[in-house]
Amino acid sequence: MGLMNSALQIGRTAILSYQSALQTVGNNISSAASEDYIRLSPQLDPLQGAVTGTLQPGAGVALTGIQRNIDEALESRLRDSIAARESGVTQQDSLSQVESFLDDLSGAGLDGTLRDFFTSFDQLQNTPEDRATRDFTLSAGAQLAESLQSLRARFSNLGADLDSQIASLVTTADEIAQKIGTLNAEIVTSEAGGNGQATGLRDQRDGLLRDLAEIFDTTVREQADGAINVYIGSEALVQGASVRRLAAVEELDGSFVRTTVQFADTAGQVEIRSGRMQGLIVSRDRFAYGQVARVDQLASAIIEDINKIHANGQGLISFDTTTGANGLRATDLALNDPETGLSQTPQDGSFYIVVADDVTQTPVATRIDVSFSTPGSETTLDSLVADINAQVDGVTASIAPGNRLTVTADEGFTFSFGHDGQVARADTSGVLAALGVNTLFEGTDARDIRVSQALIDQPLLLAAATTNHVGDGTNAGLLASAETNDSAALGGASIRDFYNSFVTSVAVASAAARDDMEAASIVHESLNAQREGVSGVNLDEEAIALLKFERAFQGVARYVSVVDGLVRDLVALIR
Amino acid sequence: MAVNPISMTRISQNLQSTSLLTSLRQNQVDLFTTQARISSGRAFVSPSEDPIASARALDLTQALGRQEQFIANLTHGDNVLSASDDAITEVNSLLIEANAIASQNVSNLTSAAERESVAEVISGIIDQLLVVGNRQLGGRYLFAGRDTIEAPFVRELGGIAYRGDTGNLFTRISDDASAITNVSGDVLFGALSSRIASGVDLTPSLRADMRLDDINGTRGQPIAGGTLVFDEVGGAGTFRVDLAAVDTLGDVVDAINATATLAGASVTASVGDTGLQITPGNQPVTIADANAGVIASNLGITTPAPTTSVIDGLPLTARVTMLTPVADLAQGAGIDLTSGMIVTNGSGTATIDFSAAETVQDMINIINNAGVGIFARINADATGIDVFNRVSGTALTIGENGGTTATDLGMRTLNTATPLNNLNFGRGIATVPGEADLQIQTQSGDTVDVNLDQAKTVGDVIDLINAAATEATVSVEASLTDVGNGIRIVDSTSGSQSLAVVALGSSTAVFDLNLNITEDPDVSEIVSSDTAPSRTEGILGALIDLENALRQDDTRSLTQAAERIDTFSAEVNRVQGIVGARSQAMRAKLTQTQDATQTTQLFLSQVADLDFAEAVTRMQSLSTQLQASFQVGTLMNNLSLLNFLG
Repeated sequence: MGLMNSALQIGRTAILSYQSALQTVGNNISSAASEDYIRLSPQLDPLQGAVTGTLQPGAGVALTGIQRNIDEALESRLRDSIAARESGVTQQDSLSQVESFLDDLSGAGLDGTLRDFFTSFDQLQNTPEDRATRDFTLSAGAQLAESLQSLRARFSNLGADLDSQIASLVTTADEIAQKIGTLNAEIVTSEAGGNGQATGLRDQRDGLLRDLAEIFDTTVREQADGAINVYIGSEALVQGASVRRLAAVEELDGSFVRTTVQFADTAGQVEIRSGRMQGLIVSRDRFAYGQVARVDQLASAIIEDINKIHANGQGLISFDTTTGANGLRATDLALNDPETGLSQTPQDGSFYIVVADDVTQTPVATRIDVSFSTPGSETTLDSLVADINAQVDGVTASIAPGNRLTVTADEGFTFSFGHDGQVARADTSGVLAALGVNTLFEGTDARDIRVSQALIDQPLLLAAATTNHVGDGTNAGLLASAETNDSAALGGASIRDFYNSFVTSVAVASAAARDDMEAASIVHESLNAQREGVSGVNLDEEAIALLKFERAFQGVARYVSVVDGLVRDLVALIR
Repeated sequence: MAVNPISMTRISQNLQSTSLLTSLRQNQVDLFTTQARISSGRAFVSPSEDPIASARALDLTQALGRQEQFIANLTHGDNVLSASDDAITEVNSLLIEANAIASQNVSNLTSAAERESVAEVISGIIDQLLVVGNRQLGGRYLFAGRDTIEAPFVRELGGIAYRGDTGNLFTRISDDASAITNVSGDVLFGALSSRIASGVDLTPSLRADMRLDDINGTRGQPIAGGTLVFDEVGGAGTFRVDLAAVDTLGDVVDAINATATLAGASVTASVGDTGLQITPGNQPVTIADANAGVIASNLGITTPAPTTSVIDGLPLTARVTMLTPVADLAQGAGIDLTSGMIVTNGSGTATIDFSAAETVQDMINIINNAGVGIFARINADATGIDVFNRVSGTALTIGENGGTTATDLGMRTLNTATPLNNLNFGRGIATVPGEADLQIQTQSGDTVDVNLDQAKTVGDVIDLINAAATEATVSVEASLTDVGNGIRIVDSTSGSQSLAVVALGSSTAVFDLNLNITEDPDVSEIVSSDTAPSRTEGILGALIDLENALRQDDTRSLTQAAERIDTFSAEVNRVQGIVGARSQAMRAKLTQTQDATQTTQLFLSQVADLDFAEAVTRMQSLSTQLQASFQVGTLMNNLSLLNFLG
């Protein structure tokens, strides 16, 4: 037995091993609260000793490795679940904001203003000759226009806000990718030559991968040298130490700015299917900008339906002059040509102008035909002006700046539309409403809807009647029922139905998003519990390990002391 | 609550704390939500908590808002109708007073002086009726139709003119129904004469540029859009012509031709004199309506079987409109518009000249601006022009001005078709059966005896006179006068006698025809006055008649006026009944709507209001749960083996 060589050597390696094992336990205990930390397990293996006679008493124990307790497949699933949860959370956040825009239960939505607007026409029908009622109706109209405008602004601001978050998130993702690249290089260097795993660096890298997964869904492949490749969709983002840069590129789409995520080198779109980035993109496109389109559709339908009815009605007074609110791109285009830029398209038909002299109020009606059936001689603004001037005595038509129709009565005359002096005569062509003549609203959608300036200046022009009688409120009645009547501009739904389904669809989407988010959270929590089961630190476990290694260390120390005593005894023999 | 699978082998320190944190967070969110529900009293704070219930709540809130507006509308309507009802009650009591006065004075026992003084009382009653007729509610005249800001009754031309409108006012009482909220003065007081309309049909010529709603189809109603189904057998086959948005008859033709060309069919359409004309090409054609449509049959162009011959559409009837050119009236039959007509109403007379009129509207404007208390409008069937006397207490006659204008337009008050029963305001004429009723004595001294027993109309009277003259071989000819209105008898004999028409026996026919005239010796023509004038059939006219009869001490007229007051009082009662019924219907609907509102509120409450008992219980259990989490969490975190290490 070689006391000096073998026996002390056993003690030495064991002491060193248990020191390292204790160090590992200390590391575990001290990192117990770190989210990124992966529990380490010391691997103590017995050593093969020299042959003593015919026996092999062994050479003690040695620390052969320190194992990171990690399940890579679980980590990958966990990252997917983080991406799914973040996408859900982001969408739900946006939707709850959207919901608050339309919260009619607390009076924030359009419901109240829509109702006030339409019921004000009922009041107007009851007392059309009352000026206060007219003012009330017009202010209800102004309120509705303002509500539509501000609702649209809220949606489009939300979209812009989400868009700017996308841009800053791209920067964050880019920084994380850079760091992963750097860590890849460090890990490769550190582990080169069989130095074992660079546990701290790997823990940092795993943390960064989880951070990246919050932003978008990634696929991770570990390489033989310890580096990892990170892919988004089918494209590589990180390959070893080389990292592709990400860029946020602003694109103007109509009136909306949409930021897209691109690879800076190829300017190719980054395929994003999950994560907060996807949540933001979906929220921006569907819940913010997408709803702007619906608000615009609602506003356009209100403008179109109300104006069509209003254009056929009579105010308490007739016009001295009126100018259409809607201008054309060119005066020689057929009025049903989309090139004119009119938001409503007139059709074959006709409308009535009635001119009355101020003294006797004797009505003289003229029917103006509007036709688009003969190619080459379709009604244009020019021809309309010429027709009015040729056929109607007592008024002069002309084209106002901005290519708008102006009709002015001669001195001593006034004019009106929509009747023939005895009965109502609707404008079957829709040209008056299209040109914005005798309309209640101006504008084309929620961006610019407003009550016609002419009516604000002269509320007596508000058309409550269909005939030339001051107490006639028939048109006001028609306007009131426009709320629940089918609207061609809304594909057959009524204004009311459209709004309700708008509000309900947001509520349903929001509820669905919350359910999705909760489901994703549960999946994530369950996976996280599994991961903690593998990689998390349990202090009690570590306490036991601590005791175990302490006792072993104490035993080895005692053993060395005994061997030392034996050696001393032997040395004493020499004296 | 956080759900962590229990089948775990190791519980890490992190898992313990995150799990505790998750449950605490969830618990607090639930508590917060419940607290928000309790403090708002709502079953859900944001719609997404219960999208179905919130959609229902939105519907119900809106229904409630509309119902509240309908209640406001119904209350408004009821107020107006009640005020009208009160006013009519006043009218009734004034009429009872007038009736009593009339019946007291019908007897011959009252003296002229007494009648004169009673006339003053009647005059006072008329004034009071005017005040009631011009009654206002909230600044609006109750009985002015749609012309609510002008007093409807004014004294004019020796009578009382109705200046109001004949239309109705409406208010919405539900999403798809409106109710009338007024009764116009012309209905209440009978303040307009019955329309003057003869059998003259002014239906204009059919033109391609007429709007479809200005043409009555074969079903008698204006033509509305739809779809035609053509089948060109062996040719292009079936194709549909969409007429939903066409405006004029010409557009229909254009649409058929354009669609046929597009479909490769050779059938063509055109506008004929009386209707549409469809000309098949080489292949036979059928035309039908699309499912449940009527436009093809309304246009009169459906075919029972495939045909290759020209399809002449059934005649369509153009409606008279304001813009109808006068030359087109009565299918362009040539109405005399150059002569004009003479109109007399009470103290006013006007010669109406249509020579400058180009359209029906021009004619109507000329009549309305004549200043003799009359107005014209296109009749409800749009086949002609009605003229009304708007002044109560005056007689309106319309006659010729040397031509045939009034006759052509059907406006002549006394015309050959006028039934004798209508003469003298419905008193007719009295003849003695089997005996001659009148005798015409000529300048030559000849006589013509005329028996009017068989006469039914004014034309019959003229014919019988002419027949009697022919039989007696006396050159006397009767006709309607060329200028003004009345029966004219022209004596072509010569002599020194005076031309005269006298009664025979006990017949009063000659007086009833206003022919009891003896001319000067050298005059060879007798013209009666119009015995068929138009007047308003209402209480105002009757009272004015009563007043005049009392002043003139005319017992016969007095009796008639008393009878008319009686008749028209019944009419006022009838109108009050109508107003009462409208008011009652309005109130019934009001009660119904109020009930519906309560039901809606109940539903809304069930859907949107919080069940407090449940919420408070939930709050309680959630807070217990939270406390338990705290305790257990602390306990778990305090347990550690490290505490026992020496």
